[in-house]
Amino acid sequence: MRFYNTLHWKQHACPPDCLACEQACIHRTGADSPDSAIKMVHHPGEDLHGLMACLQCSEPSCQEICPTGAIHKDKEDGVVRILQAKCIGCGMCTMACPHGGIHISSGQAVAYKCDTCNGQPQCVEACPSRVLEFFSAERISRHLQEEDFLVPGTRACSGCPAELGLRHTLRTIGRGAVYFGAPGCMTTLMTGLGDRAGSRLPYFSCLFTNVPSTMTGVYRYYKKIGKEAKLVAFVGDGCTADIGFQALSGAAERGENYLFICYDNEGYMNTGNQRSGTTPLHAWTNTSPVGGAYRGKEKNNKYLPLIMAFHGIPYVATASIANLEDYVQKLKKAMEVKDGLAYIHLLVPCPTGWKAPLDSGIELSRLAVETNYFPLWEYERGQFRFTRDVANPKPASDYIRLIGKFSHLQDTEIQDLQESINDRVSLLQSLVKSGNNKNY
Amino acid sequence: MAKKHLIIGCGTAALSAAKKIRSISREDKIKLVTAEECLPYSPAALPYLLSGRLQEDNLWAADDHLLQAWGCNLVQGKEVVGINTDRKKVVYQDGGEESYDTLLIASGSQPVRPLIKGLDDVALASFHNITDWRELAKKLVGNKEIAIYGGGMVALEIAAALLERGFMVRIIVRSRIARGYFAEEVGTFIESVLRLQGAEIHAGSEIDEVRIIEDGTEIVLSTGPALHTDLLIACTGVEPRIAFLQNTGIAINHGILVDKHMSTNLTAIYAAGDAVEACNFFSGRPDINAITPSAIQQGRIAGANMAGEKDEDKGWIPMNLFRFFGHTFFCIGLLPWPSCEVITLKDDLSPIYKELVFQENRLVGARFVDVDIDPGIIRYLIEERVDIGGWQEQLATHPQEVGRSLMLRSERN
Repeated sequence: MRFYNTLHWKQHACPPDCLACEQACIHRTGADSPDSAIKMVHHPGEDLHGLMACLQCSEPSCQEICPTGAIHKDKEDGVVRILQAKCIGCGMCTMACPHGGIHISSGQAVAYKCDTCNGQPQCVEACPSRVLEFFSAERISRHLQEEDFLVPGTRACSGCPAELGLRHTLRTIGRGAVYFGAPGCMTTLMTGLGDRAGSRLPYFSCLFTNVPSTMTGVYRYYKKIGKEAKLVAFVGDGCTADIGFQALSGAAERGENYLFICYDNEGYMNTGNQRSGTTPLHAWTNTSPVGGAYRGKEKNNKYLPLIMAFHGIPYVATASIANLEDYVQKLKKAMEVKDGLAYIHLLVPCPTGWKAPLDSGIELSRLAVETNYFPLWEYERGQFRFTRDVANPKPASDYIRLIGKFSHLQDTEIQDLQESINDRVSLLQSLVKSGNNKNY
Repeated sequence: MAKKHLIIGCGTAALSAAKKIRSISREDKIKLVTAEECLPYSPAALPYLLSGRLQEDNLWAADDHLLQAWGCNLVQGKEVVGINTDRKKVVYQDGGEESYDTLLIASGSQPVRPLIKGLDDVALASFHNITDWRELAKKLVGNKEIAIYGGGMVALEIAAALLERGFMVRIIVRSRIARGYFAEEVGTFIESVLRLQGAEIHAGSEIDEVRIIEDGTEIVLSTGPALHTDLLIACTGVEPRIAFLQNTGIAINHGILVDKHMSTNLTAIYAAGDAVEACNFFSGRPDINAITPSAIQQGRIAGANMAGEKDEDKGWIPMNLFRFFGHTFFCIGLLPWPSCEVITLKDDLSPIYKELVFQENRLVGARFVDVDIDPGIIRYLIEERVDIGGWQEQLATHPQEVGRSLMLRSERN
């Protein structure tokens, strides 16, 4: 796999009124254009500030449309360059680019764009807040080992987010572990069919009640034969929060060393959508029906990641499939833990069970995070921290109204969920503020 | 099994299709056949040869090296005069034949020759291909006076190129300048820019008759005056180059009729670019849209389908961008209609003009004169049907900033 260098921008840390990057670009060495190729974007009156620069597309629209063939993507460094002798300044490239990456210079009536200053981008050097970096794109996707360990074909539903989560987990951790699962949606992928396994990785298919116990036994066996084995569970919410919780809690308290990932689709989905301990308040499921007597689930869900953090284990994190880089970083941290349990709670919407369009998995995951319904945080040896800013969330209704299991909700019930979100975030904020409590 | 794809034409749509086929299949054979004796080029670049901005060496969109890299075989100087669809062969003018597994008709367009009395006697220039340019270039020496018949994009580009070189230019237009693209006041502004550069403009005039006189051509206008000129260039529109498709059974209207897969009514025969009538993005109704972006889009879809992938065309959107004498004009999408939601902002003291047309919270058309915007982002907002969400006024007052912001949000950045 070939990786080019890429500009990387940390939006959350970029001060909105600093234009050092633009200034550096305007005055870049050898520049003959009065305009900057990197542009800060401000929406007047709105709290958005963005950054725009050429994305050095792999199939550049500008290259495609240029009538004289003046634009080419350099195979060596991946930079999309304009051959000035062929540029007629017609502006068609500016009509083609949807990213605002190429412009016609007002002065000289030729096209210009970011060319990464031939590998030494001056905007990066000039950035006082160090939010601009230039590094190999390999860093962003290196967790994806070449191999996809699952066998071809899938028995998951069309658009299943859990499958995406599983694939990324396996491609990140790969052969470094032995895997464990319990009956559930992802079992259909890992266990396989008939006498064929579903993946090329060692996998134990356990029962609902005994995943952590099985792992405990396997760990001790490997230790006995002289191997420090890395064990990873990928298990649904029903098993983690309800039926298998006591074994998990025990393993956490004993300080067992493995990684336990709960993929939370807020119900027992593989058996046709029954409520679990993580099904949220007011949600419809087949065992929390909506009708004359009941209006969905009557109680709110167990906030499992926090419960696990209060076991005082070395590492806990929440993750979302719409924030894969964040998830991968957390997986790597979790894998480094050697002295106790690491737990990751991965939200995976279930469009089939939640009654949402089958292709809405990513959108729902994004909104879950952006509304703070599912804030992204981690707990590392007594210290809580958010890995994504929780300020200025979208209203809960933005998330709720896309999901059929909430379609019966009245305004007061939506308000209940909004308050629950607000309270949980508030609680997390106070935990973050409380500093390092590793001895509690 | 490797297929043989034959492409009539080597212009924008043809190359787009060829590249797409190659990106899907390594084994398939791709042959492009052109009636012209030169490398592929875009007619859109020709006016820049006229102005001297571009040298002929730099005109070519692809050279032998690139064609080889794409695995394409280009045959020059062979004109297709018929197609034997039963035997899957095209027939060349020299009598030769060429077989195909799939065929793409990307024969482009040709200038519409206006009906004017006396025209056959007079040397009428058109400006659509490289031969036109070379012929014209020979004549453009000395203090020539040139008359241009037409007021659309091509007419304006040629006029601007000639004015830049210092020639005397007269524009004769039947209605008004830029009628198909902009409101009248913008057309009037364009006229004033051209006049400032020394052009003469006769709007609302038709040419009734042309006559050869001692030192050039006499043009008799419907509005009265007779003009003298050294050269007359007709820019009265283009039409699909499809005469050779008669008796082939391929369904044509004004252009070749194609479905969402750029397929004609006959199996394994596709068409793309200036020669086709494909569906409009907004209405779904078929029509010709002879612009570069459409040729590329349609070529890509045709190529994909020829290589076995069933991609569908989303429909064409009219758009044009032209720049001359320090001014920029950009128009895209639907023109306002009586009951539409439109915001028009203009400045009495400057040429700045902004017009945005909305429908159900989506941008469907826009026109900008001398405004800093990102045309591609405006196009993105229209094509992706981005919800403008209450920011219509702001998009009109700050089209660049708000356009960018909407794009970034839509791309989840």
